[in-house]
Amino acid sequence: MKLMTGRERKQKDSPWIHIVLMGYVLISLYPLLWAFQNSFKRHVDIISYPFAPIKNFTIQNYIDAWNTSNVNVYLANSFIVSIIASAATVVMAAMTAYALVRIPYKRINQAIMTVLLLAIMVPGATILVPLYAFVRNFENYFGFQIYDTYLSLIFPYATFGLAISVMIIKAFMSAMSKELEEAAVMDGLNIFGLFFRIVFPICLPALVSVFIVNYLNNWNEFIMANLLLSKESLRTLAVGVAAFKDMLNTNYGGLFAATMYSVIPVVVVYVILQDKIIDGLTAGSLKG
Amino acid sequence: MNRTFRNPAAFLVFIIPTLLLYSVFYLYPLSSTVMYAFSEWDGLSAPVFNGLDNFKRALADEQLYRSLLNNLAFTGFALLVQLPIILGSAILISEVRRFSGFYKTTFFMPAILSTPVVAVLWSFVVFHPEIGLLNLILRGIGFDHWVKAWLADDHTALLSILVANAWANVGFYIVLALAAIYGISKEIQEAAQVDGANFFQRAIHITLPMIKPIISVIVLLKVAGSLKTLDIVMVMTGGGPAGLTDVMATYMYRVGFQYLESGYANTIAFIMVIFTVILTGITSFITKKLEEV
Repeated sequence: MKLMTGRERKQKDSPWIHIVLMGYVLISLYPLLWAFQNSFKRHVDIISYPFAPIKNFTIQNYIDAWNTSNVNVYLANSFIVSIIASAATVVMAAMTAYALVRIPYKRINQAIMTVLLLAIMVPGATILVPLYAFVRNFENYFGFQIYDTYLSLIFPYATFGLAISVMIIKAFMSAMSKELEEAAVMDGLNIFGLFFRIVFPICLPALVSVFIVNYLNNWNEFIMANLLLSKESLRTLAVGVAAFKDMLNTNYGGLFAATMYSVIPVVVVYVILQDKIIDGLTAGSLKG
Repeated sequence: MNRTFRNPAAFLVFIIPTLLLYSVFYLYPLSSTVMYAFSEWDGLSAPVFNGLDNFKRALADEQLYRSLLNNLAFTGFALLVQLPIILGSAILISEVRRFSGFYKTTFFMPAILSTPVVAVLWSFVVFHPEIGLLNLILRGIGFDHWVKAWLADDHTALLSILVANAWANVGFYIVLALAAIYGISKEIQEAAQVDGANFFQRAIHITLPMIKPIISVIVLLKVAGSLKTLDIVMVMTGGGPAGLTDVMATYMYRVGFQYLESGYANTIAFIMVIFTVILTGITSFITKKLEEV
């Protein structure tokens, strides 16, 4: 009972905590809001009154960015590459995780886990130079060219997402009760039917959050996208934004509008799916 | 039952796509890194084995030392500036009853932005010489002589990147720490409150000691992360002015893709891995010792 009164006494938050936290909210959001606001201003107004609220509202910056800076192309490229690579990662990671959880070859399973852990330990930057050489010469090894096609990003993205995805999905599958699968086997399902008709649907919530996390990582990836594609028509939005930073460095409104094309889809998805995104991203880092 | 699961063919079908992709796009390049680290190679013609020559060159390479020191500046900033902000914010959020969800969502938000977006926001909104907030504020309060091109100035370029990087990263770790604090049983906190412990006493004597494991994880992730820093430096300054903000990875990138010395670039990559292993090893030893106290 005494503990209860302790809780009751603490009903009201002291205001200074909220003042400090609101200060940090301001720091978190202000750069974004400032860029958003100025993306609707004319160039002259940004230079003369960068702080002031919008005076001559215009969406010309957005129209210009869309028409002359190829934002529409970059947006489509980012979308295609991210969605295919993330889907491939999730399906492969789910199959691997299931084999590791249920198919009993202890030694082999252990070895596979160890090798996958390597990718989490060793920084990806270390393999950039040989990866680039390998992608450029892919034809010599496999008989077809991937450099300067979507595949030059899809393959590495799908690969780099695997290790963490397997860990997260495996943790989810280990907690899955075996009874349903046993009943399905009694009913005559083979292992493939079992996986695609029983296990996959059960794990769907975990798979969706792994997909979102991979999608976000691929959408935001810059280094490989910059390195493994040279054709401008295949450029992703992350590389586009970095290029605008240099190209449009005197056209502030245009730069902010182009940047907003990259920010707005991500922020909208984040606001809708925040819990799934936060849980997925933080779970991945703890497993690693 | 067991016959269904003891099925080598099924095992192979489930595992092979992953292993194939992983071997081709990760293990193979990784093994090349190790091999070419001991070769002279321009990335196009055949590599020539040259023993430890690249490593001798690295030992005498001043730019590599400078890059390593900058990596360590990232480590130091993460542990001395970011960590207190992370723990302080997490503790504050855990104290409030209202708006805690709102704080969590907004603090985390910078973590979902791509590095080029972060670079645009900070290079233009904050550090820009003409329309940047920092200079506008300095002019506004009459400190005109402090106004400068923050990212182009020898003395402030690295610090500016460190601040932008911290802004982009901190929220993620606040959420990690917050989850751990919510895991502490309410009774302990309430018992301390009943005994008259104030906010600071509870934070120092109860909350922080009880989340030691997650603090260790954060420290480890920060140390490992600071050594592999690459894209934020590349997009904000490209290592400039005059290589002053180079970190090991940006220097490696330049050596490999602009100077076309792929062999030596792999040596730098190799050294990066060694440093990561050593530094994370030391860190995990220290954090384990501290956790036992």
